[in-house]
Amino acid sequence: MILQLKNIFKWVQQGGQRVFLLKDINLEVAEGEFISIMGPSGSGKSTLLNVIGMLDDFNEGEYNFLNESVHTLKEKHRANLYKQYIGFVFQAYHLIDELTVYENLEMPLLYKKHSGSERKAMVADMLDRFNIVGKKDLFPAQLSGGQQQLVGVARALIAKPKLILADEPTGNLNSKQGQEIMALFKELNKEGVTIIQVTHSEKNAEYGKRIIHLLDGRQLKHAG
Amino acid sequence: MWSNLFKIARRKLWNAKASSFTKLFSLSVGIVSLFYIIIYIHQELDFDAFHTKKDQIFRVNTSIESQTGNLELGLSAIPVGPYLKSNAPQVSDFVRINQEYGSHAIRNGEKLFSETGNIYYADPSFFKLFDFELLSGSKEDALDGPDKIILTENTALKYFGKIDALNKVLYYDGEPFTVSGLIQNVPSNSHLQFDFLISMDSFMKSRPDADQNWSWFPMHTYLLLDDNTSIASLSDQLKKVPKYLETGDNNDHYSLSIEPLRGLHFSPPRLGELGPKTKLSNIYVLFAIGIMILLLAVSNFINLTTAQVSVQGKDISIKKTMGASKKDILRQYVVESMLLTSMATMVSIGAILISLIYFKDLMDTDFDISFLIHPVSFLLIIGTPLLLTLLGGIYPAIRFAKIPAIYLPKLEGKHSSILNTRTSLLIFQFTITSVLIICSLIIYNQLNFIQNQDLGIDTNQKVVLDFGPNSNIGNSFKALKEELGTVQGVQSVTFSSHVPGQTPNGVATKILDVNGRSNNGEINLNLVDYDFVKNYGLNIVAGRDFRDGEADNASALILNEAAVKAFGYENPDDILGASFEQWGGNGKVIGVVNDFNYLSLHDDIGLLSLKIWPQQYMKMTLQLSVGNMKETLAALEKKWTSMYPDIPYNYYFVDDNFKAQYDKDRQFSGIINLFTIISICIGVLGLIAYASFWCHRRRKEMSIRKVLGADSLRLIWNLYKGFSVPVLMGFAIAIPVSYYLGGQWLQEFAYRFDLNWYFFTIPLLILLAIVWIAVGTQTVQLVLSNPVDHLKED
Repeated sequence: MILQLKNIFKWVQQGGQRVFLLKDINLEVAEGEFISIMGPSGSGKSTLLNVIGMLDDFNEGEYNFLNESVHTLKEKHRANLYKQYIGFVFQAYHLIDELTVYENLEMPLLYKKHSGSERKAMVADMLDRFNIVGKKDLFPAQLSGGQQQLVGVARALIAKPKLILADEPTGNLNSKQGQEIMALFKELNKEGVTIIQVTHSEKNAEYGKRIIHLLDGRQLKHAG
Repeated sequence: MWSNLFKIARRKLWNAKASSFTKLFSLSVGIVSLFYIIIYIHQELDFDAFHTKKDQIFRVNTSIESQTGNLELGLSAIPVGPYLKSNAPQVSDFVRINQEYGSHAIRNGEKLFSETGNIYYADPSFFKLFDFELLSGSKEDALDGPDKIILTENTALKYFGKIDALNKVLYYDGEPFTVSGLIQNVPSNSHLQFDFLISMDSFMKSRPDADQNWSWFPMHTYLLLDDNTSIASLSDQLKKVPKYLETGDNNDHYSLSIEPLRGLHFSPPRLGELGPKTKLSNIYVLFAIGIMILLLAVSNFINLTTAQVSVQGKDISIKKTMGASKKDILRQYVVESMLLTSMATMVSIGAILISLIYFKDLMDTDFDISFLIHPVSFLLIIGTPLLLTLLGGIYPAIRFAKIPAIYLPKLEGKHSSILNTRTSLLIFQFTITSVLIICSLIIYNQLNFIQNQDLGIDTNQKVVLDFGPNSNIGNSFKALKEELGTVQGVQSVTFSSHVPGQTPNGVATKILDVNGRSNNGEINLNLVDYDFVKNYGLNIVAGRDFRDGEADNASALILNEAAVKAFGYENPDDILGASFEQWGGNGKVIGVVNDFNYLSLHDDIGLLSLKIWPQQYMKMTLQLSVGNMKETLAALEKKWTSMYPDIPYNYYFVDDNFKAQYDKDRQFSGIINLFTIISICIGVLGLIAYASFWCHRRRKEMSIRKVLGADSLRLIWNLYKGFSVPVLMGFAIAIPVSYYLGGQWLQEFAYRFDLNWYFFTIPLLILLAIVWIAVGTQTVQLVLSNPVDHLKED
């Protein structure tokens, strides 16, 4: 098992009242799973993903990640944990505009203190694998949306994470580009990478082996 | 890692060209301004510091108390130096310096020039006290014995065409002098400014009894003390100089005091002093301006960097999700500002190298910039702005580093709090800019005011021929007057010892006061021609003008109103006929003239007397007719050189000469104006760059308003309001500050204009106009753009 959420609650105070963003979420994810989180806008999908990614805090509950209890960890420790094991893919790609494709891929490695030759090898490997060697010196603005997202996925994978978190990875893409990205995810999953994606689209959700439905911060049990 | 950081920083700066340029520009200008201000201040503070015994050298001052007022002299009597050396054990040596009076003809063969004010007589001990390097000749002998003259390098070149002029002969007013030494050129930061140094024996030769005269004060006496601990005991001793214990025969009371060499440049001016003076307040003002410009530059830097937060926020969040720590983010921004500051340093160094000559020109001096090589000063000048900017880069960096991985632009999007950092920085910038604008306006106006003030005399179209002390001309002045009067374009000619703009000698004058007692006073004396009053357009308030002929020679005196009042007379008519004693002569007061300004309007009009004395004439004033000035001057030169081949043709205009008294003020005003313009540029550039971020940030709000039906004018007004508030607040702070500073500066003038409301409103309007224009294009662009473009985002 890669991670386990137990009775997770998250709320904000608004006008003296608690507004729940997540309410009593329980989730176990085994290694090699491909999970889709679905639900209407404001149902808490992204919040849940951020909590899993340790980018966001929660107010109550327990979160165990690879036998570490995340809720008791200091921020720095937690950052090290997600740095090492989690890769992120965003709807808006979130590539750094000032960096080339090559440098964007290299960036996470810099923060993980890999040596120069290691970085070179890893980036070259990734460029090769995603078939974007010819684009390595281009800047994000010179790529199509699909190509940018390809780089985004490559960047998430480069440090060999155990878990990929994807927040509507196809949201900004046309249907053909979207399909290609989903096919890529499926393939990665086959290779053993655990994936959790948030999506609006029923069709994309079907790529997952399990679908979690959220509504108003609550898990709809019947679907789990 | 580092190369990557530099790469990002470089590309980021390149992508945000406008903002990077603004930062670079303001920072470079800040560094360059600071550099110049520091070398200027250093130059001033370092005045006379090149003498190794500088802390042991003191000048003797004489104070004269008389019934008509007190005089503070930077001079002393001839026997004072020798007396102190033999009677005061603390004084190990002394040197007396006399600045030769008037213009003199100096000639070597064909080379004949008129020299004024740059000829000093000095004792042989000159080189024991002061560190002027003698290039050839011996320090012991060069000033020992009569008819010896030392030249500076430049002077040697001027007269001999080469520096090696030792033992050559130079004719001084026709007398042969031997060049006994050559000296390095006098540095600009010396209060002793001379080209010729003549042995004191030459001075004494023609004045055999002068060394016992305790009430004539021609000398600048400098004492060399053993150490500066003995000052107190020496001051005691100065009070006991026997000759000055009792009041003199003319009822004046004299007292001596000493003043350190290092303080001479800044102390309040005394009569007869050598060298330029600087007000310490000017130094403070300049220093303050330097700091202000630097702060402006740094606040631009901070302002623009933090303004980018909405753009940067996303990047930071991404990097954090990719595993960047706070330290990584911090490092990125520090590298960025480091890159920018080092670029700015290089730009500044280039700019300084290019502009140094212009600045020298503006300041009208040569700068001693050798101190810059000293590592400490170098570090200070380059290091201070860099340090400030790094701090300016670190402040935003720390704020940025705190941005969480999940970036919420709404957190940063608050417009409500009026006094957030950026607004306060804007207010601060406007305060500084307003203060500078108002102050430069005040200075400009005051200089205009004094230059256009009615002086009470007519200085137009008057040219002075300055022939120096020469009794031959004086004795035959009538013939010369007729001769020159025939030159085409010359309307009239009048002689005098001084012309307006020059300080006449103060002399002890005894006049019967209003109570019938013989009373004594120091009165400036101008020895004039009988038609001087008429030619200069003075008004006779009481009595009569001089009459042509022997009768009025030396025995008739005309006073100005100030002098009349000093002797207690309310009505100028009452002093007519009062007898006077002056300079060993006596006679009667025959007339009173209006108080005209014969000196700069820095000072009140001093007591003045006019007397006819042809032997003392040194100048003649020629009234020229309008037009053909050039030909008249050429004709005059031709005539002059044929009549007096040994006296150089030396002319200047009375009004130029008068205005030259304001050179220092004009220079100061020029500097203030320059830095005001610089600071406005920095401020406006910062504003424009800031405005673009401001508009960027508010474009969504504006689009929503537009979609909901707001009209364009309203929107523009809405944006303008946001900028006008800091302008007004900055201005409100600036008013009392500049009122105080401007008022202080104006205190230095005896004549000053009244501060008016429009000195404060016009700058405000200018500033508002600048702001509106600067923000204008961007707001109009924003308001006219299609709202849909901006609403799609987020």
